Order: sequence, then C-alpha cells, then structure tokens
Amino acid sequence: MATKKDFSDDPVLKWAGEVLAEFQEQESRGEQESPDKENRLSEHFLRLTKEYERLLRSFDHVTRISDRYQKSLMETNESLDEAARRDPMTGLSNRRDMMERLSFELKRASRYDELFSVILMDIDHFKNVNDNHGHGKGDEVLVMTAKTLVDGIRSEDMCARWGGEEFLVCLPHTALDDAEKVAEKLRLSVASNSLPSGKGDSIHITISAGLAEYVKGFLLDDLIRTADDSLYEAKRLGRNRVCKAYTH
Amino acid sequence: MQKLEIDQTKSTPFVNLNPDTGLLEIGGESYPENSKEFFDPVLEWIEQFLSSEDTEVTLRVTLSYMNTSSTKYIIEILDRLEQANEKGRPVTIEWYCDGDNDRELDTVEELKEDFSMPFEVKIREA
Repeated sequence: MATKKDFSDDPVLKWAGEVLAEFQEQESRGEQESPDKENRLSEHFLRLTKEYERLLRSFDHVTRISDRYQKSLMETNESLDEAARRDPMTGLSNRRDMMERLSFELKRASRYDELFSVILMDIDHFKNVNDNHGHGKGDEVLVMTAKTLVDGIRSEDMCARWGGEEFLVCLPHTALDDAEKVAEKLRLSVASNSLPSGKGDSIHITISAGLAEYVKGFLLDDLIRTADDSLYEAKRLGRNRVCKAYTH
Repeated sequence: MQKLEIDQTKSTPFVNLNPDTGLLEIGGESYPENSKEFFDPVLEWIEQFLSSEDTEVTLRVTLSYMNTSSTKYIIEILDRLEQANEKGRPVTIEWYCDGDNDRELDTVEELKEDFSMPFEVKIREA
C-alpha cells in the first residue's frame, strides 16, 4: 500500500513553517504592531504555502507518472526492435538482422585485415515435405533444422533464416577450409535428424550448403553472390553436399 | 449546461462530459501537439460544471497513455474535483489501469493516497 509522500524536507516548506511559527509566536506574545493586518497576512501566507505544497505534490505525480510511461515506451521499443530482428517461427535472426551483422563483420574484416566466412544453406526438396506432409509438418521441419544449426555453431557465430527454407550462418574469424568443416558437420547433423510424419513413418531431410569467404575489397553483395554460386553448385552436383568457391 | 463530447483521435483522448448524469469520462491515448489547446476547454467546462450544478460527480479515467503535459492537466482536474469535494460536492474517481502492468497500478495507488475524495483503482478490460 502506498503512503502519502512526505515533503517536510522541502526547503521552501521548511522556511514557510518557520515564518508561520513566528507569526503565531508574535500573536501569542501580543507583539503584533497591527494585529488585523498581520493576521490577514498570516492567512494569505498560509494559503500560499498550501498552494505551493499542492503544486509540489502535483509536480511530483506528473514526473513519476511520466517516468513510468517513458519506461513503458522504452520497453515497447526494445521488444519491437527485438521482434523486427527475429523470425517468429524459428526464433532465429531474420535476414535484416543478419544483413546488419554481415555489414559489421565486413567492416571489421576490411579494417583489421581479418577473415570471416559464411555458409548459405537450403533444405533439399522442401516443397515435397509441404506437398506430402502438409505445411504444418513443413514448419516443424524448419524449426527442427533451425535448432540443429544453432546447436552446431559456436556462440560467436550467428545463424539466420535467410529466406523460406534458406539459412545463413556467419562465422567470424574463420577461413574457408574451417568453414567447410563446420558446414559438413551441420549437413551431417541435419541428415541424421528425423521427424515423425504422423502417418507411421519419418520425415528425413538433407541440406545443400554453399560457402564464401570474405576477400579484401568485397562488398556485401559480392559475398552473398559467391555463397549463392557455391550453393547452386552443390544443388547441381546432386544436393546434400557442401560446395565452396575459391575467390582468391 | 451542454454536454462536452470530443471524439478520440490518434493523439488525443475521447472526452464525454455529461452534466445531467455527472459522469465525466476521459480515455484513450493523450499526447496532443498542443495540450493547452486541447485541455483548456475541458478544464473550463469542468470548472463551470462544478460551480453551477450540484450533481454527483464521477470521473472515469481510462487513459492508456499520457504525455507529460497531459498528465499535468489530469492532475489539475483531480485537484479541482478534490477542492469541490472538500466543499461538500459528492465526487468519485474511477481510475482504470492495465491489469498486466504492476508499475501502472503502483503509480495510481500512490496518486490516490494524495486525495481524500473516494478514489477507486480498477482494472481495465483489455
């Protein structure tokens, strides 16, 4: 239960209290020069003090209520920002969030001459899952794949849902050959997964992966295009495999 | 006295002031470009109502957001009602809060403590 706020520390109220006490003391000692005038003055002063205290209270409420709304707004802002970066189905970062991260990594790599790689992945024949088992199962496959990918990368790596059934992993400080090992591990993990179809059998899926490593002078588009070309190559060679494009 | 009815807009609350029933309602979101321009007529109406009629007054606040200057005006309205109540006018405040928000409830409970008129803190239906 809230208690009424105490303003006895307020310097103006303290001073006003002293002045009023002095008025009363003069009155009780019969030291007033013209009692009518002084009593009227004391009355006005008391009214002024009360009005001041009312304003003080009101100001206090206004600031506190305002602070509370501001805090709520900030919290809403944060959750909107979070929602704008996330894919609601898989809980992964969305393409927008990944683009920001890639821009950041690109700048860092170019400034400090560092390495980084990306893996672009696509679920093979995903349309068949939807067609044969329904979109509900298709969604479950996406969620399961997302979880497998996240579990298979380091905490400093990032995995995003890049498109419908496409995922992109960003691997900072990672050369192409090491990225290939990660991609191979992820491909195997996904291939070893299965999901009950609900009709007695299981749904198995595979992914194709295309790699790209940052090369000095690369723009974001160059990096994505390279990964895309590698992924295309993996699909062309029969899917369920990892392909890399050496760009230097 | 005439009713004062103002429709809700994106940044200003709805206002329904009814002199016959004594029900004064304000709700919605309040962050007008010019709070003075918006609230002055409301305050003026309430002052006139308090001085000319003797109907029982209920102020029902269902605001979900107020900016700082709107808050100042709402407190001002509460102060006027409190003064009228001290002079014998029956006044009740019904302040509706978002049930999911403890911080809002706490703030309104604090506000309530500063008034001696009947002040009911209620939960707003979502």
